Amino acid sequence: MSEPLLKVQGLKTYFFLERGVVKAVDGVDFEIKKGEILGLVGETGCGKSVTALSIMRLISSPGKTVEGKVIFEGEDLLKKSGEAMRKIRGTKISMIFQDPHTSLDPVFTIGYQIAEPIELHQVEEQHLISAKEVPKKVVEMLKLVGIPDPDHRVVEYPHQFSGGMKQRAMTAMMISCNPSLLIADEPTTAIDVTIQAQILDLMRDLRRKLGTSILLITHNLGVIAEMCDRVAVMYAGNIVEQADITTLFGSPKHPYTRALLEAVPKVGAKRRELKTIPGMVPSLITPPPGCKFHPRCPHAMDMCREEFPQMIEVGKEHLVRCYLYSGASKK
Amino acid sequence: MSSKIPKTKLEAVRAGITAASGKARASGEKLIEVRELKKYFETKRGIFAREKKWVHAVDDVSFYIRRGEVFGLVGESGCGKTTVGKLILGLIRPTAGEIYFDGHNLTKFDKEELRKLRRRMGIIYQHPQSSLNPRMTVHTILSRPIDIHKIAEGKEKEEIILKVLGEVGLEPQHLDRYPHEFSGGQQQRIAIGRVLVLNPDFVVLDEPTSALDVSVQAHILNLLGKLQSKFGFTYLLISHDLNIVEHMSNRIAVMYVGKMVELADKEELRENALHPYTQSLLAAAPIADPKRKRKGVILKGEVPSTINPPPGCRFHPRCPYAKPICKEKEPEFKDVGKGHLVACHFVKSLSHKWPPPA
Repeated sequence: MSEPLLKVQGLKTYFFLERGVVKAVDGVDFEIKKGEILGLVGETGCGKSVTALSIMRLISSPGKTVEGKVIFEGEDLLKKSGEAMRKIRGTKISMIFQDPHTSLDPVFTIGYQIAEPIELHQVEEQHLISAKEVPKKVVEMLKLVGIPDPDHRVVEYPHQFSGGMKQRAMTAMMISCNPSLLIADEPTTAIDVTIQAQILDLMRDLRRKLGTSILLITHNLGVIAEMCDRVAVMYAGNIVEQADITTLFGSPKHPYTRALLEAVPKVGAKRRELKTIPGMVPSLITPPPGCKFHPRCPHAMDMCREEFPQMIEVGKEHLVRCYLYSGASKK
Repeated sequence: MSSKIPKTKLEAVRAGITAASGKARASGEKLIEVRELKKYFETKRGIFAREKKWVHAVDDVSFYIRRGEVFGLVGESGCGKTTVGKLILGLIRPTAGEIYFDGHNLTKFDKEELRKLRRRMGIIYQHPQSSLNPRMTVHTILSRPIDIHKIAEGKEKEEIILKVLGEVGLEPQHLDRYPHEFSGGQQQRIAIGRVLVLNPDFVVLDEPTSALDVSVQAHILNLLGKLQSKFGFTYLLISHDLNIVEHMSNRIAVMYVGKMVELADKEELRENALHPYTQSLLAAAPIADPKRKRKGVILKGEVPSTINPPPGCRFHPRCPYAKPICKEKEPEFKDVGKGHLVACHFVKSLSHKWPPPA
């Protein structure tokens, strides 16, 4: 087995607020192999975006990554200097955000904004291309992400682009320096379904053509099912289950994963009561002791209330953080 | 029997409303009928405006909603689905066309008459945090509609409020709290309660769960379903999420750039979608099942502008089957049997199966 591209180990990112410490990410471990699409799924506030920002080292005060390792291409990103990190961002790791409307600057043309990282990284730092070639490269990138008539659109401003086109332009900017890892944080949540299908297709295409690994963060289980090779399910700052896509949807083990899958209305199913999860997502300042899901879990045992469960391997690369399966690892 | 003093005011309200309508609920006849409805919005106002342009938000739409039915309206952003909802409630006035609510022609009503009729209607918006007044307690929020429509006072009013609170799954101690103290799901429950105090006939659900997480969404959809079967409400469910519309509705209409392109029973639409746009919409919706991979073909291009919609069939620039006639002549919205309406020139001659042959 080759060394994974990204290895996150024991990552903990806390926010130090006046009313207490918010343990947004509280011990997260996962790996992404080369050319793999890993899905990170979970509900609002479970820590999926903070995990992504921690990898990028974009957490600012009052937040702080207090523990853990982020090994990328063999080196720990958390130990890098600010300057070294700046060179990695945009070239080796780039990130696409949820809302294309707020991630583009309204006062600069699309072309200018796409040219910026190319000039900075490929012209000034790496001397890969000359400054004169930049405009040509920008148009090429726009063409690659499927923007019609790129020669003319390149001088337009963000407000002249539709939502789907802006997300394409963002994608063009992010892949312009051939990153080996693309972090996409809810890339299609603000976009209509037919355009969503186009953007997802574009991302799959990039993986196929350039071998880019993708960390896809979303709350949409449909998008996960369609795009990913493996999935990690997050709940209240921890990964509770990790498996390949068919296993996770076919035989989910963790009670939270199972509940989440059953809560989604499905096309073709009869109208029935949807399964719901009782209670609410716990506070991340004073999470419940033991397993954080136990107050809402129908299978909670005494043990679950006392001790935080460890990840257990229940199948090939299928990990579950639940005491229900603690017998399985011994077999 | 027809005793003159009903036990609670809530019963009285219900009795009054059914008496007013003169018909039992959930009887299957038309509660809402919309005929050739049009709404154009003017753009470019202000001193520098050289020419007026019109957004064709809703352009010649006709349909009806049966009493006790859940009527789903799907489409992508800007297709005019929310405008249809607002027009039916009389919150905006149509440019042309007629809207009938229980036999009354709303387009002929003045503001005051509309306000009175709105006691029998409600709307639930997408974002509960912006549709609830942050300076009002839950109690005030729930009592406002009762006060405005002079339904009850004093003890009777409190009874209604407590009963509604129980129906939407909130506790009496929540009454003195403010909206910001609640989670998104609970806020949506308050918004549902605000509609429920009037015990309306008809409720517009405008993306009721789009701002919520899946597990909370399941709670709210279950609640809306429960209330509907208990009180016989008629819903117009507006959503971009086909899964939700499929789950809740009896009949579904699909809109594209201000026009209705297809309308059918839920099962019929799922099994036998005829309009190429509906088919591509069904194909584009991601399925939470890795074994059922989406079919490879993806609709090209973007939704056109409603300011200058394409001539002829509005879907023709993106349609894989488009022929010259589609650019010139607008297709009729016609019945192809079993109440299944489609607006496509080639609905009978083409064997529409998505994906189209390469």
